[in-house]
Amino acid sequence: MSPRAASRLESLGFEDVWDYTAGKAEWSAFGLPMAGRQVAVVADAMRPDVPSCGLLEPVSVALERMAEAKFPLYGANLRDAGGAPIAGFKDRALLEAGGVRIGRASCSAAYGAPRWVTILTPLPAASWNQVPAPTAPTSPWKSW
Amino acid sequence: MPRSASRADVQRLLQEGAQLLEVLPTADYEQGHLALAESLPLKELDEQSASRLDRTRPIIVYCNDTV
Repeated sequence: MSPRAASRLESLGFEDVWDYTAGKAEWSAFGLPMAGRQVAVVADAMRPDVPSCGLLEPVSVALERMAEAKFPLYGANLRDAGGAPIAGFKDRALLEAGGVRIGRASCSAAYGAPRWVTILTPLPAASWNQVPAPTAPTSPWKSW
Repeated sequence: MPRSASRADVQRLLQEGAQLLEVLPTADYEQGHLALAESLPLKELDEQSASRLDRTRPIIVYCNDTV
């Protein structure tokens, strides 16, 4: 649709016309500023540059990057082969910002897990029990 | 011929004062659009509706993706 719009604008005499073909899908996927009725404002506050590893990189590379991470790592159903929590990972956390309590948790699918990781199924009940019901924000999400 | 803009191009052009237009129907625009974008649906794009645009500044158009 946008290529046709760009061509039409040129036919109307506009000389400096650009077509952002990746459009709204890419822009929002990168967490860039959006507006409108159904925009999840919290997504605008999330960082899109979380480090990851490529498909051909070994697990050791992923572990090195995780160790360098400046943000907490969550894996409520991750344990080592002996069933103990994995170093550096938390099951869950509760944050409070501007009067809003936010529960953070993460769980992983068993597919492709390395042998030294145990994926607990189902998720330990305590992980969910301690996540409170959501409350309405009282301050702009961007402020924190 | 219109030039293709990358995400970085869009950010740079907006800094330079470009106009940003969503050409999807108005209902789509109202649901969610790029910040700073104005709505000018393709179906309504003609000489009259385009007269509100500034011919001296670059114009970036977009929709959802390449479809």
